[in-house]
Amino acid sequence: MRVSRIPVTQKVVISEMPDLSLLDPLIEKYKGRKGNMIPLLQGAQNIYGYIPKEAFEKLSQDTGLSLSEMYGVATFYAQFRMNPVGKHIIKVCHGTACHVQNANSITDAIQDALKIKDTETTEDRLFTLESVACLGCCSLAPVMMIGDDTYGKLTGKAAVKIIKEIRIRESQNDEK
Amino acid sequence: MSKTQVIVGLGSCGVAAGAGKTYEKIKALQEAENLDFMLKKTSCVGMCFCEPLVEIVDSSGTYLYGGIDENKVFDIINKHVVQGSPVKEYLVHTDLFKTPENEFLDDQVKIVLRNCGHMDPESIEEYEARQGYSALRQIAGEKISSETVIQKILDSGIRGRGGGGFPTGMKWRFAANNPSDEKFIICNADEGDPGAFMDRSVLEGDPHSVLEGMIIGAYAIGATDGVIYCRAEYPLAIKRLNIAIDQARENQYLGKNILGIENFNFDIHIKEGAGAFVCGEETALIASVEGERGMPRKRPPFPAASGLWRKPTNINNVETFANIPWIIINGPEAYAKYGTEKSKGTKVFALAGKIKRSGLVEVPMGITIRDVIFKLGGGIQDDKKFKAVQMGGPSGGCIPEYLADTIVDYDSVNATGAIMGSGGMVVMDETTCMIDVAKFFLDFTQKESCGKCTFCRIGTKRMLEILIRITEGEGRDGDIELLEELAYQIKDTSLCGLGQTAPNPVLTTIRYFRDEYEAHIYHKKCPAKVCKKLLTYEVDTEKCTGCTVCAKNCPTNAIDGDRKQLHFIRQEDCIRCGECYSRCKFDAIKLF
Amino acid sequence: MKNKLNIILNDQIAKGFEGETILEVARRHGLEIPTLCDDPRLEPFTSCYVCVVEVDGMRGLQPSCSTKIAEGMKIQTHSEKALKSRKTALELMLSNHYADCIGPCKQTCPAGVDVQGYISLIEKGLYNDAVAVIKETNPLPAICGRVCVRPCEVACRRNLLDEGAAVGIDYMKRFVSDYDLDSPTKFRPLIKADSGKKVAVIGAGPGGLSAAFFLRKEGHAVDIFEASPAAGGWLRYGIPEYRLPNDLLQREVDNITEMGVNIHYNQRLGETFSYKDLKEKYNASVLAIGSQKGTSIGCEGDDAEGVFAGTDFLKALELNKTDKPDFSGKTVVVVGGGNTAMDCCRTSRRLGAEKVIVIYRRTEKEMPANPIEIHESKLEGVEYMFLTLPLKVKKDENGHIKGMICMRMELGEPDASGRRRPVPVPDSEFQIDVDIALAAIGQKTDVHFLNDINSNETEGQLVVNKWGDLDADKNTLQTGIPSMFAAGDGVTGPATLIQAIAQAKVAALSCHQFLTNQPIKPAIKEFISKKDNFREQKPADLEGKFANQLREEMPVLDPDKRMNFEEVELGYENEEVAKAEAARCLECGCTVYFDCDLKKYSTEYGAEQMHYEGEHREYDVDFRHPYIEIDNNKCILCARCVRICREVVGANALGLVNRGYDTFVAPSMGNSLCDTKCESCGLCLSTCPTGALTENKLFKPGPVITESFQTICNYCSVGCNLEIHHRNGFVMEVKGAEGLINGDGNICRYGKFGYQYLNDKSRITSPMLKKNGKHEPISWDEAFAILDNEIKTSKPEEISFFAGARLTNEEQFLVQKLARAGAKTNNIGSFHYLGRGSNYTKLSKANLPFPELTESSRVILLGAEVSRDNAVAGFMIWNNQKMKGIPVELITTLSESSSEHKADRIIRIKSYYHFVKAVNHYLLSHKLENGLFIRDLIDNFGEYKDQVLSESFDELVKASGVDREETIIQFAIDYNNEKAAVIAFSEKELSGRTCAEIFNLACITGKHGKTGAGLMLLKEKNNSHGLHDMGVMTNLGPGACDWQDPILRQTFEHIWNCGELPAWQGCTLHHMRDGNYKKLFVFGEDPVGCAIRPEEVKLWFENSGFTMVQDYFMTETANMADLVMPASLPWETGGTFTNSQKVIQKVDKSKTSPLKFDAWQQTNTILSGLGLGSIESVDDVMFEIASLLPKYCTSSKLQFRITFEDNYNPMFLHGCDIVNKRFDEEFESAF
Repeated sequence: MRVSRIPVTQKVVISEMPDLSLLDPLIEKYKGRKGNMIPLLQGAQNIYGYIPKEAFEKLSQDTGLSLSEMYGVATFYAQFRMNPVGKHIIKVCHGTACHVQNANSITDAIQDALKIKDTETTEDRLFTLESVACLGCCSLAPVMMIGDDTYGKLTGKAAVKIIKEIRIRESQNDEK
Repeated sequence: MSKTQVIVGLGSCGVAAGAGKTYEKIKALQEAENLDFMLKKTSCVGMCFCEPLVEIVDSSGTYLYGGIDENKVFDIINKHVVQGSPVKEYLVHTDLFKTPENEFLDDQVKIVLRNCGHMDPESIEEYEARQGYSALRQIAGEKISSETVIQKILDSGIRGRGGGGFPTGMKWRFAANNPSDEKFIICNADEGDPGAFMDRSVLEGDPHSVLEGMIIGAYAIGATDGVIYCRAEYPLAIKRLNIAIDQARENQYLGKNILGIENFNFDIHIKEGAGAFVCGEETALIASVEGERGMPRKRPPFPAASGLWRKPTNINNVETFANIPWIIINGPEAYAKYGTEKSKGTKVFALAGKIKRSGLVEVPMGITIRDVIFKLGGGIQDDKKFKAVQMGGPSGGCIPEYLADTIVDYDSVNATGAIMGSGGMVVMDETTCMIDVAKFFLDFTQKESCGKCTFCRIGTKRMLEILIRITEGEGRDGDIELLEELAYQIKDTSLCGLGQTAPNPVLTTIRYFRDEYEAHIYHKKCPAKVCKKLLTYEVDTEKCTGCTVCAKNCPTNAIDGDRKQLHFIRQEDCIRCGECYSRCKFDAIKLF
Repeated sequence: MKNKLNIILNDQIAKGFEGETILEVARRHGLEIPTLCDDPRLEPFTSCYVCVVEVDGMRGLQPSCSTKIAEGMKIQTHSEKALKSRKTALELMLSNHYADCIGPCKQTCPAGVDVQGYISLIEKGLYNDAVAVIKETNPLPAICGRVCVRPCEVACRRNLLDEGAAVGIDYMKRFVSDYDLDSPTKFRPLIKADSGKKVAVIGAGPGGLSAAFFLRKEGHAVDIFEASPAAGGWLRYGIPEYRLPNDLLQREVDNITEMGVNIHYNQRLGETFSYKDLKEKYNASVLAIGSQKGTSIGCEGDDAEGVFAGTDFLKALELNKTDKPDFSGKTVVVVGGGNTAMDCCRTSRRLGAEKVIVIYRRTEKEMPANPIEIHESKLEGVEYMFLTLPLKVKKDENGHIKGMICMRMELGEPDASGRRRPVPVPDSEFQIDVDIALAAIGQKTDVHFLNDINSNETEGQLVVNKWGDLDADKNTLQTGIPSMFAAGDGVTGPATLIQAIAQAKVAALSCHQFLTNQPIKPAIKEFISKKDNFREQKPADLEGKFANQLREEMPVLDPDKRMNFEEVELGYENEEVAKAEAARCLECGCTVYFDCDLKKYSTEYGAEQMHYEGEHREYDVDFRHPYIEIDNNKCILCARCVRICREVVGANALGLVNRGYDTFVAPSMGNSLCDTKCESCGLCLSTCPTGALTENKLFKPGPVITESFQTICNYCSVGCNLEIHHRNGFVMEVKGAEGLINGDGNICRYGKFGYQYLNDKSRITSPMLKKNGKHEPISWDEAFAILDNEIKTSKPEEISFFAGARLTNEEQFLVQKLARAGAKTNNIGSFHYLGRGSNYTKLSKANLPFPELTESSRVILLGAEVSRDNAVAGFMIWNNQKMKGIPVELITTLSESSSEHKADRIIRIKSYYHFVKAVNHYLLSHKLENGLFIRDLIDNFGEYKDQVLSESFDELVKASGVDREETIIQFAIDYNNEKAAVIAFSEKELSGRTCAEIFNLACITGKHGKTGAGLMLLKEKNNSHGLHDMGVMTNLGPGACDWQDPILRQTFEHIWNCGELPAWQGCTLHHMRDGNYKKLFVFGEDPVGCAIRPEEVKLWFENSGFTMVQDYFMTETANMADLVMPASLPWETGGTFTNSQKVIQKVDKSKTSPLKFDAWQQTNTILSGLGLGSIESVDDVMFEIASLLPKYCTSSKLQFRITFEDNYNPMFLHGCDIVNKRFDEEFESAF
């Protein structure tokens, strides 16, 4: 008899079932087209903000693309997210210019303030922190981007202040 | 007499600096006061250091104002537009007299950037008004053969601006010579170097010139389809490209029998990259366009023989394509007039780092690095000591101050161990730690390694770990040699350019700044005072006010001292986190 | 023909072909370039960079796997730069290879005994084999199993689990060795041919015996010279019998002398004989003299009488057994904490001592003695004084010991050995009364013969080192005298048994090298990856991963019964205990230890795991899939598994996840492989160069060295070559072999994993007769008599014979002959085809050879579940689809076909017959037939056309179940226009008449006989086709000729000399249903077990007056039989199979049969009983078949097969074969 081994149990993450019908127009558009994998994934991410597991399955089912290849592609490219993201995505630039101007201290300060690590999302789903390669605003280094707004010539403190302001704004919105 | 024009620079950099608000404010002002001028948009003119930029063109000439945030809008509009007197204090450039910033523009030769910042990028009419599509029309009108086009490109001597520097004309000829029912032309707009934004500026500022370059290329090699592989992080560029492509289709620059050229059918699509630096590598880019993991494959076969969908494919980058129409219009000789023997034309650089005027410059090949930094760039911020310039991004290297007279051409730059690359130029001063810089770049390439080949996947990781331990004071005797051993093997034995060049930043810093490595390893000191773990923190007895902030924030309680008394750091407990240094409001923590 | 190119390969001119890679050319020229990511089955990937070479004029190094040669290319495959780079590549991979090649037990064992290997053999009951494995490195396992100090058990990872007790490695060794000693099939090492060299070994202790063993195995003559009157050295004279009985010791000594080793007793070198004699008579010598001189306590007064060196005491006892001293009433003090101390104290108790005290200067924890010994001694009443140091022996007036002054100690800082150094407690002296003191502190080596040797030797000198031990090279154990080697305690000073054995092996190897004039160097150090290189293993690494299981403790003599020298440890009660303990082994070592390429190259290139140390990745082993285990820790990311699953299988079950350093291989979405499209073909296992993907075996995987033989797979009709790996008959693994059909060695899940039945102990090996409802073994003679009688007493029409589709051609032929010539019946057939019409037979004519698939332009799977049933044929199709872009169209009635995720286009229908006939109708009614082809090759076109057109197209379309009429029309036009279309179809899914219509379709469109076009008929079983060719059909004779042909029958009557052969229509489904039979003879089929409607089939057997079934196991059919006969495995007899493409492949006889009469011999015996001659061998059967083949068969024209309606009537699943049934069921229940 072999030694009695206990198999690894996969963590079952129960998440809300996304509305998969939203994918139909996307599938309609790209089905059967050569090289459609990345646009499909990008489209799905645009819909949900991330790519839910169920979306992978539906895309595979409906387009005939292989799941393992799709997952391989999704995990290869930095753009794709497999988990829901916060309402505001904080992108801290870590390009060369920003690095030389101490971008690390910006990330550190935000991590401390939000108690999350790079790529993570706050518990209230308000913020997701991401490090990005270069936002192309080298002359304003160090830079971060929240939504469509870019903030330049930052310090850690200034960055945290901006985030706090957003949070306050959000809570006011909630009350309304 | 034409109306006064007020033109706001709305490139990404401008927007980041607040140009959007500036524009809105001007518009509001115009409406409120019912002012009679033309409000227009343009893109980046390259002077990022003084964004937001507003240009006012009136009968007396052109005036470029810098740093015009919404608060300054009223000033310039009121004084200049309404009262007619230019506001000298904000003026950065004018045709009429010299400003200090003139230096920034004087030595530039604008071929690639010929239209950037000078027209509305969303208007094909404006492009056409600036000789746009006339190169293509010339080809169609004069029935210039594809072979002649290729010969012109060859004669111009232009080499690929993406970094490799392979003669563009040769590349086109290879692709042209491979018969196939389908061929592709790809524009590599996946500008991934941290610290480089040339391509973005061109795409945002002059998308039609890139399209025109591609169409001419397609004509030359016989391509049937074109793809622009663009970073998804460049939404504005993608938006403007889409507008431009639609306009080009409407104007028959794209489609069937273009401009009446029989059987010249060509169209262009945009593929958004999904964030992988390695996709700058031709074969990885192709894999990505095909919807796969962006993993490079062995060349040969080169894309010119078997590329996208295994068909002959030509890939050039944005800057290369933007040059093409100019070469056709002005002739290869005009182009070859600029530059050195083996590097013709101009090169666009993104100046960044510890430099006074950061931004985008286009200079003729052959200019010295020193001139770029000191004449155009205005020298080092805060007049600190110039230490090195990093060229070529993660694939490039650091050129030390004493080699600053190296001229900008492919071979001269290569000889230093750096590379021309796509045009990032990051300036470093005495407060930059070269090991930290090497670590930064290696951290980048290591994270961006696709993971396919052993040397790049694990080798760069191991090199990075060695660099990390050196910067953390754990460096060991023999680490420099170990780094070199790995570096040379990785260069020799990696599948693609990413791996083959990844060790360059380390090798050049070892070559030029070995003493700095030795200081870290053997003396446990960071001369530039960057590597936290190698610093000693002491209280400056002169400056300390006894405010207790440092002691309160010290995570290991290593600072003693009562309120209003001189404080003291117990070195044995100090973990060198730097908290006291950054918290002290009186600059009373000294670093050694 | 491709262009030839000239290149310069390592300075030699070599030729290659255009398009060839450097690696391929080098391989053809016999140059091995290592590679880990290349597999000839796959496109080059270029990731490992181990295969790099230098090419003149190219920058850096080139990966030879993907660099194509060019004219005049200059290549250096083994330049210094390339070698260095390969080593670096390997070292980089190893720096992230968090894995154990071997378990800590083997890592720790000085002799390197393959613990995991022998434990796995114990689990299988292969005890002699287990001993064989042990004796690779340790010739004295029964002794070792009793007295070894067991460093392996200290290292055992079971210690980290909750129960905290090591696997009983040593107990199992003892169990298996004892078993072997008593076994009639005792392991006897293979001794090489006589080398003509002679070796003298000095000393018959463990070192000397072991050295003799290893040298003798190499074919050298070995004489041992022993000073004592008996062999064993320390084992006999140091270890008391209650631990190691002398007779047991002697049996292991005898094992060595049985090999031809002589032992000369009472021979003392330098005293009773001189080295001079040795030099003359022997070519070399090995000194294994041990360390014999005991030392005293080493304190003041230790010269007192009554103070002995413990070893002297024990030896004296052994030498003088009849006169044992009496310690009654005495107090004995034993000084020391090692095993000798234990032997002394426990012996003292046995000699009657009233009080025995062990004095040890540290604590119990630091004692070097085996904990079990300490435990037992306490049970026996021994007392301990820890942290105590003897300062002085007090004498009485006669100079005899009377007491001892001791001092208390406490533990200070750790010393060099890692143990905390004891330091005296000031003023803590105290005295105890003592009658006898035994010093168990250490021994010294006695080298009195040094002078004798050196004075007689001119080539060199034997010297001693500063500790007084023999000086020998520490790697080779060669002494200063070139022909002299030394091993054991004499070299190391007092050490352990297992160290002596380990040294003996080293010395024996060096001595062997000396004798055979080879350079003397230690065995190549093999690369061993160790998890401990990365970090120490912690309980958390195992917690939750293994179920707890308590250690099987060793039964011992009751402490009350121990005042004697009876062996205390009694050994495991029985095999079950040993097997239960074996199950506790955590199998830490890698299962591909013997096959791993990474390990092989790392050894070859001297790579070190920690040269580039750094962060490493750790993963949980995923063994959720019942056949495939994924250990990402071992993965080197060559992606061969991912690629083969994509490029060959088309399943895409595996993928690369993440990028860069974080990349790993995982099933789709990181799920369990069970939740993917995985087909369990095992190709990923076959391509993995390391142990990242391994077979998830049901038994302990070993690994152990296996034997293997090649054979043809006996599942489906593709006919793949397999390589069966077994250890003494126990099948450990099946691999694909490069065969005629599966040229690239691919096999599918049936071949790969369907071997469990071969290890099933319930296989029938003797005839069984049903008596009172129960089957009982009977003699062969009795069985033959019954069969003879049953046949002779039957009317021909009442007796029916059935032969299965898995039988060899020879077996099928003989059954057919028995029926026709023996029983004179034409009731011969196979349940496999029962009730399915005769069309399959006639169709076998046109079949596209598999290799031509590469030339086709489209493949149509029409009722062919290739991904499920004939996967290897499928691999060829999918590989072409992926790499060459040859599209695959699937036409299926199944709601979920096994190939639907792979096909480029799917047509879903309800009836194959009507679909094909509708297509034919359309083509004919639109005059789209290939007239030229038909005119030249086919006669009955008109007749056929009339029949088809007489049917209604609309009705056919409707019955076919396609969604739209256009689908059929489009298919008809596309197929007709396709340059080279292949239709693959399967008997399992289609009726005979559908097959006929497919054949007609190919005739209409002229697709027969063109390269890359045609039909690919797939059958269910390995020898389904043989049933036709061997005449196992009522209307077919051997050679598949028409049995109604009287000329043919006459030929047979003549050759067989059997009288008139029956011509009447024999058994059919009606025949069975009507019950027109009284006796059934079934060879290798399980119709009851495989029946779709078992009630009906059961009834047939219930109605039978007499039933014989021949099979491997008690199948459901066998259970209903009166007489059950055992069946043979093909490789036990040899024979041939005919695959679905009519390729006849030979199966060699590769294994001895457990049967007295093999299957063919059984039939042959019955035939000779019926006076029908006798054959000697399986080959004779083939000759006979050949002689019977119709001489006048000429190739006739093709014929359209006219059909009127469908006849799909499958009655049995699994090909009506228990082998298929077992695996199908096992497979199903595994998920």
